[in-house]
Amino acid sequence: MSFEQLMQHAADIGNKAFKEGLEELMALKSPSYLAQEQPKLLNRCYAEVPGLFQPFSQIPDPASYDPAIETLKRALAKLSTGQDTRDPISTNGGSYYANPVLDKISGSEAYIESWTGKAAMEFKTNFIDPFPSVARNQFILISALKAALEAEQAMWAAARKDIDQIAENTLKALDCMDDCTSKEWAVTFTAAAAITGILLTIPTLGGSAALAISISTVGAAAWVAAALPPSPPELTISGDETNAVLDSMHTAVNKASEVISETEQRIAKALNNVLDAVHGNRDYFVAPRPALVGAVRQTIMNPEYMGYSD
Amino acid sequence: MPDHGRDLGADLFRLYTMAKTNLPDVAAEYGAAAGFVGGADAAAAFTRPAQFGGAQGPAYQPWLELRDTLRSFLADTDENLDETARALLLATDAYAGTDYAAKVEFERLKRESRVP
Amino acid sequence: MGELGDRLDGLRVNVRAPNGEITAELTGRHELRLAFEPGYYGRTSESELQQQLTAVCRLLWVARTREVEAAVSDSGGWTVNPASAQAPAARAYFQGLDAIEAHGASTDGSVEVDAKQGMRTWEVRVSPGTLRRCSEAEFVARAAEAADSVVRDQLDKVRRLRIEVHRPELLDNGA
Repeated sequence: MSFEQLMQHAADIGNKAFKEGLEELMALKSPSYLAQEQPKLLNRCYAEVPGLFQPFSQIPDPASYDPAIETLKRALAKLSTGQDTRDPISTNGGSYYANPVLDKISGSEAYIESWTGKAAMEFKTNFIDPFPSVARNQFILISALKAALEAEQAMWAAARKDIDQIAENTLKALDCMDDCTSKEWAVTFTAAAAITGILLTIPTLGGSAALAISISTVGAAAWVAAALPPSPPELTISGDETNAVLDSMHTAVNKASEVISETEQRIAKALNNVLDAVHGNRDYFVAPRPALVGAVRQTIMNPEYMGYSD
Repeated sequence: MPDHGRDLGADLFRLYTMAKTNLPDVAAEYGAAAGFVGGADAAAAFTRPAQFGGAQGPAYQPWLELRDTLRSFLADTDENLDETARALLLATDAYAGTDYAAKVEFERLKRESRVP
Repeated sequence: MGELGDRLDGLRVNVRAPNGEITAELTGRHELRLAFEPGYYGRTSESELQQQLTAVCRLLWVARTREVEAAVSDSGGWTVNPASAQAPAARAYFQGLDAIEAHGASTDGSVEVDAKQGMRTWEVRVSPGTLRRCSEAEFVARAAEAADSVVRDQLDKVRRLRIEVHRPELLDNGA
């Protein structure tokens, strides 16, 4: 059984439950009871059951996150400095060769040392010196942006498995109803454990007195080394009577929705944490606009800008 | 006292090299990185039935905001590098205009170098 | 029909009567086929036959229950132990199962079967004169009818029990 056939399974559940439910009603040998209950059973099996599964058949395809993840990997490759070329969060993508072009900034430091104008010196202190650290921090942020997509991807992949398991176990429970003693099937909700939290350390800029900052964010559990997640929630699909089986299925489907919602809230919260850290510590992630940029031909040789001495 | 003559010419050439190759090369890497980050489009991937937290769910907006913030950081870096390079070129031109010997040496070094 | 359903519907169990003279095969829930050792049918009596068939019924049901539980277990599920049932409805259901008395008979009434205590207790009756009146093949057909009939009656009563236990509010109004 697989996710692609979810709606077929929903139809099978409806058919099977209707057949079994009708037999239960017939066993009472009461025409008035049958007339009263049959429409409800019809509605339950052929409207409620498909209606419950239908939205799940349209949850995001985990593979649809791949193009954006691959694009972010290319951005990571561009900003990989020699400091540490590993993805700081996720092992999906692993290491990026250090981009040697970035060394041309630090390498140009000597080129400007004869220029003692204020803006020229500021450019050296505020732009060139911290450049490798800023680039490193930007690399970490791109990795967090990518990890959030991987978390989404992992959550939906698990959600597909979870809903599939619910459908599958409901069918089994209905298959077994004529073998009288009660049976149960466990449904494990794995979507929550598919993502895991990670604490990112944003190193301070070289020579700065500021403290390093920590940001808590999330990634796909499969790609992130982290403590074992708490054991996932479980429910059982069971019932001695058709409606009771459908009730347990309904409860499980609601639980699957709830777990998705809670898990995605964790992803959203992690992203908001990163955003707060970025907005609150902007200097860690982008070098300020150099004052040099404001010079014009008439002012460029002033001590304010590119004053010169050896 | 500032240098002049041939020494100034050599300094100007170093500034010129920085403005013509070092900074633009790094700026180009940033331009590309900004393009990749900005081009990481997950709008369709996030789309789902409304019962799952709305049309694109609760994580899409903060993700998009982070992506756009990050893209602007990278694009700003690209632009700052390019504009700084422009200012350095302005400086080389202005200083060369003040000292004939320096200008001659600067022009010689430019001709002999592979700097564009 | 799911895979588990197919497997349960196709389950086949075989047993041999305590005296070794009768073998019985149950296919699915209610298809019984008896076979006698050569000459046995001609020399047995109704009273011996009903005693042996009573044992056959019990053995068949034990065998099938074991197979069902194995199939359920293979599918990732498990059978609830009546002793561990906590919810009032679950306890009422198990009590109700124990109280069911199912009855079945062949179309001519020559073979009758009673099943009690959730099919743990069985009684087969073969009416006097049956062995003289019926050929071996006829008897095998009568026995199959009786088996089919008792299993259907049991299932009918289980279904009624399910509604009684799980939806009592509806019974008060309707049936």
